[in-house]
Amino acid sequence: MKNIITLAMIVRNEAENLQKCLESVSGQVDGIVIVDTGSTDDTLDVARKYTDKIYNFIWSDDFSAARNFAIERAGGNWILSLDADESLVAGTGDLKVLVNEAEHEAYMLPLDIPSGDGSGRYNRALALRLFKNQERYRYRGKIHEAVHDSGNGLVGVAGGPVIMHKMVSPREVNRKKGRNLTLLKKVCAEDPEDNFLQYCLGAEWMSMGKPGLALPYLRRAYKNSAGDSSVYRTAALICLIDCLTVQRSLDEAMYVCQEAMDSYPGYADLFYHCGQLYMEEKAFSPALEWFGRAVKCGLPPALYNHRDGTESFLALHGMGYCHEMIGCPDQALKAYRQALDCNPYYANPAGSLFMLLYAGRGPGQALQYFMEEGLLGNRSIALTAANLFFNGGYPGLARRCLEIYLNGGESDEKLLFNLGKYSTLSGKPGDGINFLSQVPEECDFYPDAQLYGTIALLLACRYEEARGRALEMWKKRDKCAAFLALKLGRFMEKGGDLRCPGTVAGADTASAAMKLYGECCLYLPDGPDYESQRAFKLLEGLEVVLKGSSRGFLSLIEYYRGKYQQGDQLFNYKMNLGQKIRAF
Amino acid sequence: MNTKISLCMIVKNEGRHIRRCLESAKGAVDEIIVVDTGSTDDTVSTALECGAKVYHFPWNGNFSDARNASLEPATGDWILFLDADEELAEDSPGALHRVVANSSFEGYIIKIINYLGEEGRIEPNQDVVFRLFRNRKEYRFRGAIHEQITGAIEEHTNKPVFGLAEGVTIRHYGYMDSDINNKDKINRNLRIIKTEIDEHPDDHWLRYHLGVELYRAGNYLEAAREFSKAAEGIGAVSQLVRYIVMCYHDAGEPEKALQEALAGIEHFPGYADLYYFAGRMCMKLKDYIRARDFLLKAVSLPEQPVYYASFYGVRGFRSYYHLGEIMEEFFNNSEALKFYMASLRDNPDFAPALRKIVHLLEPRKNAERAWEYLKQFSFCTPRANLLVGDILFRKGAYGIALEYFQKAVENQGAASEAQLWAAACHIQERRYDQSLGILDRFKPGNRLYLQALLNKMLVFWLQDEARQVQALSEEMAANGVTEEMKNVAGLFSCTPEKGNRSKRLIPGEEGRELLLDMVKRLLGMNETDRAVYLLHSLDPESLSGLLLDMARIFYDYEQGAGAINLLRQKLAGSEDGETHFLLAEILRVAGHGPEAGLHYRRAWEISPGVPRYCLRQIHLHRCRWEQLLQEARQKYPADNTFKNLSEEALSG
Repeated sequence: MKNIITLAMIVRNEAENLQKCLESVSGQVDGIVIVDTGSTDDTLDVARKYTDKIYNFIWSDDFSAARNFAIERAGGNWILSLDADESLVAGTGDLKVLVNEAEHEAYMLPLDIPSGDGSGRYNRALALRLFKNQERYRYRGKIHEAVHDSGNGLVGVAGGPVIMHKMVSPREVNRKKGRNLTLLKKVCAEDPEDNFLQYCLGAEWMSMGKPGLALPYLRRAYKNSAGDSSVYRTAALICLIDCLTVQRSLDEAMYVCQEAMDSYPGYADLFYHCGQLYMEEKAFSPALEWFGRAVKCGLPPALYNHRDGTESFLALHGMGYCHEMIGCPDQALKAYRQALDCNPYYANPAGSLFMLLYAGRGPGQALQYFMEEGLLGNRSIALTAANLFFNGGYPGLARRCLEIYLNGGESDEKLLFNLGKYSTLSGKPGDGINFLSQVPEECDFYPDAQLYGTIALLLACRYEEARGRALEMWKKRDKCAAFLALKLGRFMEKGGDLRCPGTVAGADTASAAMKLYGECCLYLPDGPDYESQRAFKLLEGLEVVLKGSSRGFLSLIEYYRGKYQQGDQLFNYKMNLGQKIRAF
Repeated sequence: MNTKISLCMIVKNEGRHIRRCLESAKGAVDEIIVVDTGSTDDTVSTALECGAKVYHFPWNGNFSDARNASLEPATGDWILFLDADEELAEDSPGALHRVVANSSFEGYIIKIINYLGEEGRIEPNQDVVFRLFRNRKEYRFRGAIHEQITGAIEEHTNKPVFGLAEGVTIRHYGYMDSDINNKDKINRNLRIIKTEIDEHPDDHWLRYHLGVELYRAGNYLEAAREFSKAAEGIGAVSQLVRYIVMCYHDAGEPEKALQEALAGIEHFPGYADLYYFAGRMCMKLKDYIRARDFLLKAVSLPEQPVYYASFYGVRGFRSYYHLGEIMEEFFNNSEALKFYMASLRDNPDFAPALRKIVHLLEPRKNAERAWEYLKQFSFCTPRANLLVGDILFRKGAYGIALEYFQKAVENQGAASEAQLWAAACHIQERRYDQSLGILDRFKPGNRLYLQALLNKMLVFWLQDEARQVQALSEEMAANGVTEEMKNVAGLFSCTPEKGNRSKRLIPGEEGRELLLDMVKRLLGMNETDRAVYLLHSLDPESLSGLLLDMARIFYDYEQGAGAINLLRQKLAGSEDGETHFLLAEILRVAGHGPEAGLHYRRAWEISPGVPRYCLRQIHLHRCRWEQLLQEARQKYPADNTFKNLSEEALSG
């Protein structure tokens, strides 16, 4: 008998995603069934290009009901189940070959979910998405629905094709947070025995930053699911450990972690978490050992929930930190470097590496290392290093980082804005004006770019233009910053009065002035042009503004306290590096 | 029966030393045999005068042959051998006889103190050498250089053979710089030793000696290689390990030196010198915390066994001194002062510690306190008093300086160096008549006459008495003044207002010193205009090298604005951490916080290893925080937030 595969999916307002999804299954499936649950956009127009089997289903707060409705309308003997924001990755496998050579009646397919840290990497999971079109395979669960086999048959695990989830922006993640909470709570109450749902509710609370509410659900889900599939039980396990860690129940977390190692051998994520826990306890030597085991272990078995990097760059980053803490900066450097090699897009080790060099060998050497190692060709590393230089009070070196990146890399609005700001504060206001004026009006950086552009004009002694720029800002939206810029301009030119109202157009003058003051304090020109008294005049003006209100005064005081403590910390950190003293 | 001792020596052109040596041995030995290998000076006659039996042996390029020749005529039961630049210390003769009476050993090693360094700054260090053995025909020297006899003795007996000659001490003056600089001698030694090694490539002790000669010749890395090769054969010997460390240290490779020192500590965990050097290396590497721990370990160790040949002061003044420096790096001046005091107590002749103590005591601001501290030391020689006075004078503490100079005068008498200094102190405190009274005692022919004239000129210049200045300048010319001094003195012929700016001075080293001293003295008298006039008479290039030093002097004498100008001038030419730092210090004190912060940051960027730069920046922010809190409390007395914050700040 010839195998026929049908894609069955449910959609609502997916006009943006649907095309990519349906294109990706072309040649892999023989038919498409689409069930719409109430779109108000062009979803159905897109769908019609690919299939005429489009049905409407009245939404009933039950995902499974909708999905099963779709499956029941599918012909053929195999069902592929996808979401609209998923697609098959070309070249990763052939569904037809898979079903023709099938030894099982249902298969889990690899599912890649972008890690969301801008690294372009994915966390891989497995999901049951390919199964025989039979009564025994139906979705269950009103939410976090999953295909369930009432016959309890064996499920195969396929290496491909790979399903890729669409990249989710942080904003979208935020929007979706808590969306399912009401429904989840309802179904959990209805079915308190369903461990999977308990886990889902716990995870939902975790994602909303409420570990205290999550903990009982996660505990129960993990404890009661001993015999269940490792796919979601390991997810519950890791979520539970995370939850206990943020709750500072470190002993219990450690216990859970170590106990689970017997049930799930070769599970790098557990070794990694164990290292993390020891690190939390400041027990750096054992932490090092566990991180080492995680790296040595490599990728865990496919059915375990795995977080990308726990077996490589995350563990290596942890190792670097531990090496630093026990006073072995050289080994720390090596570990951070390896972490970056494993995943150049995960910039955190770059930050640690930077601080290690910055504190230990000084800013000049830090820049040299990053240059010589070619790290600044990577946008996120270049931005990280530049930002750290800037905050340390070295805008010139920050500018250098971005300049080096731009030698080979593409410019964008964030780079232009930062480059403009760094140039201005490193004694090159002319360059600053140039870069800042290239920041496009529709982007997020525009208001700040306008403000710094005005500051650059003031530093360049171009008072007339500065006034013009400030008036333009006033007309657009940023009245408070415009007001401040005008006042400062007059003060610098003629020593004008600096009394300001507490708020301008509803915005707090003190906080606007403070932000500017904090960054202008970092002023450091490249060369020995120490006649740049205008920058100090600007700071003087800002200080007068800040002292004009008790709120401003307070933020000024807090600023210096912060600087003092930050300096103190850096110094202690610096002095601890290489401090491992032989036990005589 | 009384045991007889023969002293056997070989000499060549040792007229300078031999009397001291033979006199010291007279009471200790029963006969003196001197074998001369071709002196052309009075060595032989001096030896005869001292009662030696003198023989001649033609030099054949082989030290052992000559040594063995000196043993032939010896009739004593024991042979002591010394070099002409050595002597026996006072208590040694009696001890020597006690050692050989009823001895069960075949030979002895003896403690030796090597006096290193130039005259006036001699730094003794200890070692042990083999110098005493039974007079037997079988015991003869071997080796063309660094001739050895212990091997021959060991071959002829199977008992434990050597002991330490308790209470006997040799003093060795041959390492004094004037002698050690004698390149011919080093090159001769190197030549002989290399030939020897070609003949006996497996003799590791020869390599050791080659290393020593190379080290003395300043070939540190080559020396290190030879020492390391020697170590492969003879194992880790304490001095050998120390030599390797010193080689890398002197070659400017602190990492390597540290590594070797740490490896050495594994073998000799009680060897103070290794901790000392490890500490010094860590300082070089700016790892101050570790440096401190190593140095503290060095001073905590018990007296070193003789065979370690521990350097003088590593468990004392040297380590204390560097600990003081480390504390200063962290602005911990009270601890620094304690360490410097400990250093000076351990070695009252150690001038660097004294200088630091005076510096930290700020005697110009707080003479009482400086006096209290300095009283703890009895500087009894006129030299010591002069030194203390000099240091105090340079710090602008003319009152106490005068006390010390006057103490020195009691010993030195009129028209002496101390008198000249005393006169200078009077000038600084504007007691011109008193100073002229002293200066008039210096007559032509006195080696300080010109100096006295220069001081007199200063007195008249300060009072704008041009005619007197002119007369003194002619007097100087008539008494063979150097070009340098003449140029500096020439500046006194103008007043600051009328100073001739077209002619600029390009001084040599002497002129520069003189000029800087004058500038310092003028600032010490609040004669800022005159000081600036002197400075501006320098040509810009000469001045540029002095800017930082000058700025520091201005700053020391509370002339912040003048210092800032000099520092800005310096930065326009070239940047360095110290200049930025000093500028930041002055700006901070003057209340220019953000600008000071900029220079601290730049200083740290240029020299990230200097903790002071970091610490001051933290200090700056802390001060700003506290100042602002106070200001806010005054401005908003009703606002409890500020009140609570300052209480919090005080308690934290």
